Amino acid sequence: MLHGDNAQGKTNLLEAVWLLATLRSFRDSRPSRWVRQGAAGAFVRATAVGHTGTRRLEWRLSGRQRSLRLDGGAPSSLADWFEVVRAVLFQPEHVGIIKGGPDERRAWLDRAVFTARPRYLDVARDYRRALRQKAALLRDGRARDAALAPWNARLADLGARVMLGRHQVLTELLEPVREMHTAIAGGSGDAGKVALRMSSLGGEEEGLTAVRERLARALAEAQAEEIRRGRVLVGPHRDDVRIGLEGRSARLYASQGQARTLVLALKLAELVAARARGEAPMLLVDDLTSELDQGRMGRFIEVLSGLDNQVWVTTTDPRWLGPLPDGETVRWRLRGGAVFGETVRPAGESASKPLSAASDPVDPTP
Amino acid sequence: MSDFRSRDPLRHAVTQLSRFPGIGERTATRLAYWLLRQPPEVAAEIADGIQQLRVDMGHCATCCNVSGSDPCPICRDPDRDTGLVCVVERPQDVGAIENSGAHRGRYHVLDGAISPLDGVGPDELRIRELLARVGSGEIQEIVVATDPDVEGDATALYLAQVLKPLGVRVTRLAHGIAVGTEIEYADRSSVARALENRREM
Ligand SMILES: [Zn+2]
Repeated sequence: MLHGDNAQGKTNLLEAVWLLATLRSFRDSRPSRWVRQGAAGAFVRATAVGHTGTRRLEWRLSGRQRSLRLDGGAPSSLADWFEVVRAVLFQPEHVGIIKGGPDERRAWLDRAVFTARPRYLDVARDYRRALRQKAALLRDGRARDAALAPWNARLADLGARVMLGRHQVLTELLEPVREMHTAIAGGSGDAGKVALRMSSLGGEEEGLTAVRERLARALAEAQAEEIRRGRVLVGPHRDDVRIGLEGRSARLYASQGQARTLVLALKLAELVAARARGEAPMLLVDDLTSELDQGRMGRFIEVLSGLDNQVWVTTTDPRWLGPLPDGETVRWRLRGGAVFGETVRPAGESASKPLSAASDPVDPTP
Repeated sequence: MSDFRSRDPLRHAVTQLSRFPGIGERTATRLAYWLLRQPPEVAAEIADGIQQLRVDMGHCATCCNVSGSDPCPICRDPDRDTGLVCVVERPQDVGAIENSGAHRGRYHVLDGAISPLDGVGPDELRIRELLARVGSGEIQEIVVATDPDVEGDATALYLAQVLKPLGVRVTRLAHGIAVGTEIEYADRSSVARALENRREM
């Protein structure tokens, strides 16, 4: 639990963990922002204990050059790196997953698919690339059937993999989401029954070949219209995740409180689903302050205590969180970018003694 | 013309050397001082080697590879299988596949891959030349060895689309080479494996 006033570095620490897990920032993707004024670079270094053992991670930025070291050497592939640290992030604005547009829901689900299957990153990236190529071709106005055919073939294959990845992970999440939703919302049984499905794939089980063929047909049918309008009209980049609550669309009918509970249930479900794969991603909760009423907050903390996952929570006021599990909670206070430990265990040690900051922008010359 | 050079020959040499990809000003300065320490003929030999590269190298009219002669040594080699042609994106890829020792046919260099974002369509590549080669009748199989990325895959699909109606067999390198590894950088044994396990398109 990281607490402290605003702008003292709580979120920076959380962001450093997220950076190692995803190689991205959750606030600003410009790396220059991570470098202290006047310094030549920055680094984040961590020892991670997880399903691949105890591993040393280092992310380094010098000038515009980013480099990674895994156990002291260059990782043989990005997939190797992403295998090591998995994380699920919750921020207050994630309520947009429930109430916002389809792009916010797709971004959440794609992130969840990546957490479950890191290699999905390549498929999603190639799909986006092929999409941009086809869009450029259509914009150009000279697009003919022969020139479009290879792009549609690639898009049918990559798009089908995107659709199946999303469908499979959504299916894996359904029961855990219901379980977590009931646990946080309280009450009993089916009252808050949650439904999840993709707008383009129903509940039916289809293989890759079938999905690919179906997408190829849809692309072929849309081709004349796409050429006429000069833009891409068909594909999973336009899909939506339908989230239902008590038989109605959560986007349209969920209250703000229901939406917050639901989005926390989605995030926790990722942790529960990971357990079946023998993995325990970290949960990063940014600014857990006024998200939930007292009853729901208490049940949320109780659910977290019952999971084996490491949880990082930032808050301006620890009193909001209520009692945290004794013996399992480490409280750090952040002030002026420095971390002050008030460790609960071992007892009697290091009251308000500065610890080394996890992320410390420095001049990387040795 | 030469007066801007004479003002500071060292500065001029460093500026020119740092035009090479991967050579920054620091390396260029080191190379310039190294040249100054060598006997004068060293600089002359290096300059000559660089100059002759552009004077003597042209393209083979058959396979479109860069070559000092037309036809190139590979297209001239009577021991090579004329019925088998490996299609690559760049001249460097020919070197990588030659090093693997696993290809006994000839080559065709496309000079890139289809990429509408970069304004590169089939007409900007050496595809017309390839169709002409196939039209002359000797070729039975085309092995497409474009990069295993989005553009390389789309180019392979386009080639299959225009070549198969001409009655030629079209195959694609197996994914023995990790996605994202350009052919040029792939190691020998994986290139050989990818050629051996090529699949019908
Ligand atoms: Zn030749």
